[in-house]
Formats: sequence, C-alpha cells, structure tokens
Amino acid sequence: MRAQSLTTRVLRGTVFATLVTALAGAATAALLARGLWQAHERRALLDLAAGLAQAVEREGAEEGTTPESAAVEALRESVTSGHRAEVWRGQILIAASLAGPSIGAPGAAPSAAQGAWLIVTRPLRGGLLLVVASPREKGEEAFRVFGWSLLLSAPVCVVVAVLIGRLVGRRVTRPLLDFRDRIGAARPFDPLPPAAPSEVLEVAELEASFRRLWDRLQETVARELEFAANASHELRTPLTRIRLHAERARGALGALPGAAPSEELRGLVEEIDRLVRLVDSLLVLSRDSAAGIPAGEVVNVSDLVALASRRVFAVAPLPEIEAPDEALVRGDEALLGIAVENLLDNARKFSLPGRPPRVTVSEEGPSVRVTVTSPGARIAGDLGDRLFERFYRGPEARASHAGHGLGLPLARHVARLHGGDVRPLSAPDEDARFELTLPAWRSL
Amino acid sequence: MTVRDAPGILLVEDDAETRQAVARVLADEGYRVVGAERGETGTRALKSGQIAAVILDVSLPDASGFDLCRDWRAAGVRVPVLMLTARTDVSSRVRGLDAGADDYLGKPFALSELRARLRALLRRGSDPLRPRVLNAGDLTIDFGRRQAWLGRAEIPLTRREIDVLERLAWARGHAVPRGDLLEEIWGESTPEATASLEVIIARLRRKLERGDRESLIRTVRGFGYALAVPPGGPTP
Repeated sequence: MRAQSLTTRVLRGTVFATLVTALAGAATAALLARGLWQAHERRALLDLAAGLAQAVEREGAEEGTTPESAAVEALRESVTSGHRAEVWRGQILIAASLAGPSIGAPGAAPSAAQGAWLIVTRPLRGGLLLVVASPREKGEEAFRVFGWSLLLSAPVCVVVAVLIGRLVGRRVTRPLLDFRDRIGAARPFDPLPPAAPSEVLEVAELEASFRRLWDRLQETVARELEFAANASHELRTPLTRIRLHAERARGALGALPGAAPSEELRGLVEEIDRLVRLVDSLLVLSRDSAAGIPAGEVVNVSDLVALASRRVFAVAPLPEIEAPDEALVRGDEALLGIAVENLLDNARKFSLPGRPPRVTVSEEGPSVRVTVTSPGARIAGDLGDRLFERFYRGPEARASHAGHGLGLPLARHVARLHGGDVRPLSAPDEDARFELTLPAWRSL
Repeated sequence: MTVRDAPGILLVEDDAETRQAVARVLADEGYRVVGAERGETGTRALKSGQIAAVILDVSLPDASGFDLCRDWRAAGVRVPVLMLTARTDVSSRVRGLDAGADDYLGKPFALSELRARLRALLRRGSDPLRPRVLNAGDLTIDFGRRQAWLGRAEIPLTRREIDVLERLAWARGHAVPRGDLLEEIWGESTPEATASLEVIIARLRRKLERGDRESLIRTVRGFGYALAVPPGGPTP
C-alpha cells in the first residue's frame, strides 16, 4: 500500500464531510420548503373553494335559478388564478373553470387526477360537489428548486471544503513535519538538537518516546565503540608478547647447527602481523566515519599499491599494476594502506586461478582513483551494498575462501574517513571491479 | 666487550613478559639491560646507572611515557629515548618529539626493527639541538609535523621523503652512509629498499630543486647522501 500524506487524508476527509453535510442540508431545506409551499397552496385552494362556494350561493340566491346554472355562472365569473375548479353531481361534470386540465370525477381512480397536484373538495347545496385543484406544474416547481439549489451549492461547498481542509491539514501536520525535519537534520550518534516540546499532545508524546529510543541507541553504540577501542588496545599487549616469542623461537631454531630457517615460524609471525592489522581495523571501524581524520600527512597512493601488492601477493602471481610515479592524497598512511590492502586481498581471493588481478592508479582532477579488477569474478547485481555490510560474506566467500567479512566495509570506511568512497563498478556480466576514490592532495 | 663496558639499556615497560623477552634478546646482542616496571623505578635507574639509551613504553601504570620523558629532559637528561607507542600517526609522533623522545616504534614491533633503531640511536646519540625545522632559502621543512613549504606554497612530501630529509639534516651537512639511511628508515638493506631510497632521492630533488635553485641534496658517490645546507645552517 502506498503511503499517503496526512494533509491529503485530512483534505479528503474534510471534502467528503463537507459534501455530505451540504447535501443533507440542501435536501432538508428543500423538503422543508416543499412542505411549507404545499401548506401554503392548500390554504390558497381552501380559500378559493370557500370563495367559489360563496359565489355559487350568491348566484343561487337570485330569482329561481337552479343550483346547476348558479354553479356555471359562478365559475364563469370567478377568477381562479391558474387553478382548476369543477362542479360535479355524482359522476356528471356540471361546470368547469377555463384554466387547467380536467381533474376527473371525484372518487374515480387516481389516474384520472393525474394532471393535478393538490385537490380540495367542498360540498355545495343541492348535492353538488366543488372540486378545486392546483396543476401538477406547481408541484414540480418545488422539485426544480430542490434540484437547482443542490446543483448550485455543490461547487461552492467543494471549494469551501478544499480551503478548510487545506487549512486544517496544514495545522494538523505542521508539528509532525517540524518533528520530521528535526530528526532528519540530526547526525547519527549525535544528541538530538534540543527543541521546545510541541504544543500538540500526540506529537509531544511521539517526540518524547523517540528521544528516549535515540538516547538508548546512542548509549548502546557508544558502549560498543568504546568496547572495540578498548579491546584493540588490550589485544596489543598479548600480541606484542606472542610476536616476541615467535621471533625469538625462530632465532633460536636458526642458530642450531645445520637448521634450515623455519617456514612455520615465519608464517606464524606473518599471521600475527595480519592479526595486528585486523585489530587495527576494528579500532578504525569503531570510529564514526562522519568524524573524519586529522589533516594527516602526504601519502603516495602509487607507493601504497606497490607495497600492498608485495604483501598480499607474496605467493600468488603479482597483479598487473598501472600507476603514475606519484598520486598524492592527504591522510593516514597506515589506514590507507589497510584499505588498499583489503581491496587487493579481495581481488586475490576472487580472481580465477592463474589470472592476475589488474590495478590502475590515476589522478583525475580533484580525485585519485584506484580500480581493482578481478578477472573471472562477478558481482551479482542484487548484492549491491550488502558487500559493504560488516561481517557479510557472499555465498562464494563462505564456501571457499578465508576471510572475516571486514575487508570491503573497512576499505569503504577508511575511504569515507578521508572524504572518498569505495564502490563496485562492474555490471553483473563483467569482471568484478571496485574503485577507491580519494580527494587528491592540495595545499591547505 | 665485557659486561662492564657494554652499553646499558634502560627498558621501562609494564608488561613483565614483554620486558623479559626484549631484555633477553638485547642481552643476546651484548647489551646490558636494566628493566623497570614503573616510571618511578625507571627514573631511579636512569639516575644511578650507566645508561646509554632508554626504551620507554608510553602507557605505564604510574605515568605517561610522554610526561616521564619531558620530566627527564627538563632535569637535563641527555640520554637518547626510543618511545614505544600504540600507533605511529602524526599526533603521537608530534607528542613524542615534543616530549623530547628521539625515535618511536609502534607496538607490536619486529625485533629486527627494534635492534636497528637502537643501534642507530646509540650511534647518533641524543642531540638536544637536533633540528626540528629546516630552513634553506625559501624552503621550510617542519620535521615534527611532516610539512614542507617553498615560500608560501606547501610542498607535498611523504613520510619517507621527510624521514630521509630529517636524517640528512641531523648530520648537518656531513654525508650519511646509504646503509645507515636504509637501516634506520627502511629497517632493511635489501635491493628493494635501496631502489626505493633512490626513487625517493629523485622525487625530493624534483620537488625541492626547482628552476635555478642550487642542488639541495648532494650525492657522495659510493657512500651516501648529504644535505647541501646553505650558509647559516639549519636553525634548531
């Protein structure tokens, strides 16, 4: 489901509510108006019927006229203002006014009275029945008014509803948006910038619980960073001892008459050095990448690559290196060395046997680039940034190669500490290629 | 060499196992080693015995190695000090040099490197007037901060390049044998290191000897290199 803006939701709700209210209001008003009109019309009919009855009386009072002729006379002389008046005896029409369609015999089927809206009857003397009716058009007019009022009020209502909805929506979401902006501006691992509590209760509560969560998280992260820093310092003492012992044992063995230099002990010392670099790596990873590093010294990346490749490819075929004499950056030589070494080590592990990796160093404008290509290796398209998660190891790495899943994250972390980055560059069907970029040296 | 005239090395290190191992290695080399676990005992040993050089760990239970070294220098101790630090970045280097240390080594260290540094230190001795900044014409090099300027423009010099210049500056115009440079800076005299030294000398010349400037680094054929320091010499 797609997320929807709160403002939109409030707007929609307001428009809907306003429309429904407007419709109900218009319908009620129209019904009321119709009822009033009907009552008014009935009264007019009753008055008319009373007037006509009087007129018939008056005509009948003259010299010996029959009730029938009196009715005919009275209806001809009276003004009925658009209403129809008829006089019946039983089922026989005696007299009718000029205006309007016929109403039909009283007591006949209602279909006979189709042309009429309201009908009022009044008995006359001599068994006659006066029937007065207002025509259907007068009733239809009420419905027309109802329809028109709806039609006219609807757009006005919508406009008003949208305006109100916007206003309300903005007012409701403003504190939330403010909160969102404050959170967005906060740097990871930093305390949240202080802010006056929102005057909206729900937002204030939300912010309070968010702050509690943030503080707890920060505490945890700080503890872990401290642990990593302490651990890597604490590990140095035993590593120093072990290295000393190994070197002394090697020296002692070498001093024996006829003894060959011990490969095992040489390997042991190398492994200790690797372990020291891993410990250093943990310490580096424990630094916040946003913190950067002190100005540092001048480092020649071409030299770093040459040195790292001698170290990494001690037994495997050396990579093909293409580098200028100097590609200078500013930074921490040891850390940058670790980053380059990890990239090369990665290439060594994943290149097809017998096919040496390719490394190019170049300086292009404001950055120094190191690209490392592993022939035969592929970066699966869906892997992306997972490669840079700490302790993540691809299926291939888990299956066949040693490694701790820190190489790439470490290289990227060091690069970012220096204002650069490490990115995969190759398409899924190309030889795996990673690029390390660093800001080129420039005068401070 | 008898034990009496063997150079005395004071080793101030709080980890007993490391101290004993290093002491044994140095004793095998013919040094007379005095071990100290704490800064206080170290200071006492320094005052009482014949000490030719000190190996000083930065983190001690009762004091920081930086503070200790500064106190010794303030008290007029001229013995060369090799500092053992956790990391060898610029900030700890500057701290160490500010405190009066002559060299420093990151932990864990290779024994061969410790031996080489110690030999170099004993050969050179501690020079309180050792140049920290080199001024030659409009060229200024701050060895502590590892920065160089030609006039007002900063010159990018790498750590190795500065190390070589620094070592040449310490000799005050005298030639420094190639082997000394290799041992003290590369820790080894392999053909690779020799080639690397030549590359660095070439780079230094390219960066520092522009236009009609007179040559700054002099090659002494078959021996080594010397700094052609202009009249006045390096200011301390």
